[in-house]
Amino acid sequence: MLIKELSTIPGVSGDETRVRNFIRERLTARGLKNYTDSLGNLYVLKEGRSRGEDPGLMLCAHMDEVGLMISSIEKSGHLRFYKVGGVYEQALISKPVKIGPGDVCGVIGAKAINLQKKEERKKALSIENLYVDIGAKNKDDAEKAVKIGDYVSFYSEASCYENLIRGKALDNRAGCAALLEILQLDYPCSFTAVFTVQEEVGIRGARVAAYRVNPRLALVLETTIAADTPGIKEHEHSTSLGAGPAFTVKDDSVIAQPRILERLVHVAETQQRPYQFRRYGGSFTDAGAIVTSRGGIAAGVISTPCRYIHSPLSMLNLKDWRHLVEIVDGFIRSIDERGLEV
Amino acid sequence: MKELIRKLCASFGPAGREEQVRAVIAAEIEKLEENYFIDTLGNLVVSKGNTDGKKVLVAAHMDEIGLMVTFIEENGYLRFTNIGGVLQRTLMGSRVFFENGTVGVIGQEKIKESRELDINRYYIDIGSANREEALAKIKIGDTAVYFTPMHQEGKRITAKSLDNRIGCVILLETLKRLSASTLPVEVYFAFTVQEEVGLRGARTIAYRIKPHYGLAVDVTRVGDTPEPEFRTGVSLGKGPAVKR
Repeated sequence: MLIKELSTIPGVSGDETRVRNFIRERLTARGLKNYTDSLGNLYVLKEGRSRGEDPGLMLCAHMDEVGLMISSIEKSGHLRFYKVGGVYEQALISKPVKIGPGDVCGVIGAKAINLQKKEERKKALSIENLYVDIGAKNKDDAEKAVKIGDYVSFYSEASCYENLIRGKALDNRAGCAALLEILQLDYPCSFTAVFTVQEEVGIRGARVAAYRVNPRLALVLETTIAADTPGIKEHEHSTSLGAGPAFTVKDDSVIAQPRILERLVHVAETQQRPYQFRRYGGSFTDAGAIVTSRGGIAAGVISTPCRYIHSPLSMLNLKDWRHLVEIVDGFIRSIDERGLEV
Repeated sequence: MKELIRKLCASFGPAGREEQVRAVIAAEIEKLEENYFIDTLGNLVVSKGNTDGKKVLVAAHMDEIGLMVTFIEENGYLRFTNIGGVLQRTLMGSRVFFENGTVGVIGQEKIKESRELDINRYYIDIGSANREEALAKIKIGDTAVYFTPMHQEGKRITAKSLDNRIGCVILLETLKRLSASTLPVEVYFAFTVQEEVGLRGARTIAYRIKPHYGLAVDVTRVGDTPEPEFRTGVSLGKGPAVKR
């Protein structure tokens, strides 16, 4: 399964090469022309069957995931690290990780529980109290396997249980998988698809991509927070698993173009598919960089709801993802048929 | 001019939903028989003067801070998030109105300590008995702004969204007074969107116009109140403030 395969590939922001290669292989196998820019964004010009007016549509999904980077190596051979993107810090302890291009295996360690004082046990351990243990005897030994600046990614097998899928980096490999699905299909109109880099560290790839492609309108395929878990009041759920893909009205980076939002709702209702509005006004996505590019570009965001985002293991409902693919498909066809004044 | 201030301040225009404000401004510009254009994000621009001269961009934002409905409770109360920098302590008891005219009052859950207070503890009461009744008027994603019309007290006025409808009025008045034939430069008057959420409209309009000079017309904090939060050195009645 595409999401499962994409989920397991290491691809922390700035180190998206392996994700990009995986996607590129599939594009090339389908005869889709693609190219890369100097930041590492992967572009596909999807040509339409008819030679009608090009609606100037760009679809994008970011390839990168949050993770860690080695900052120093202790005499003892333990590796200190810092965060790359908004990692869920409290979830780090005792998690398996892969380090550097050689995929060196490690585990995130901390002071043994029986040595921790009462007060220490009550508090979540911060990054300064954690390290990556690769079983090295000392610094020299560690330096044979890893170096400062090596990326550290979570190491979690993806697995399914009925409609639920669990794995790392579902944010945003689910979006990448959806965009790959869309690229398999035929459309009357042309559009540009971009698999972007460095979203998690400040929507950097999308900024460059929007400037280069200069579209009229853009739809971002994302994965967003679901907080439909015990102890959280319904109005703070943000999104719920199984209630369909989520449309963003507003987050910290963008206010969705009303006409794009209306069209997404229209498509979902015509197709009789479930959808929800994201009930949280914070966080950011590639759309934020796109909307202020050049003289302004109309943008919207559609997301698969996902629990435990930015942690070593997240969870989403494949039905939501499937609905997302179908709504995006309907959105493109609707743009082709009816256009969209923005 | 006072009537225009009153009208613009009464207009609904949170960031991203500036249509009503823009319509009032567009009508004023049409009265002056000037041409304007509106860009993708919703900025409205009028140019005037010598097209061979240097370009001067004068901008005032149309948008205001507001609230966006994120959830409707079964008992009809609306939960919301902020659009722009809303001061939480001003929420309780405030009246707000929606684009369709619906008016609500903001209430707050019982809390033990003030640090528990965050935006998720507040709700808007639009007088609906249940979710269905509320949904007949409001849907998720709808936005609201404060319902505080203009009032004059001596030489001073009070109203919601003087930040920055007063800037819009200043631009309109300047546009009216300038004579195109005597202007050595080409002036672009831009009424911008989404300032309160990250200066987004100004960014795209500056890219489009590529001006030689830029001037932002806005409001600013004063420091002439009891124990002010910011000692800005700016006082009401002492003339406009220049940032340097």
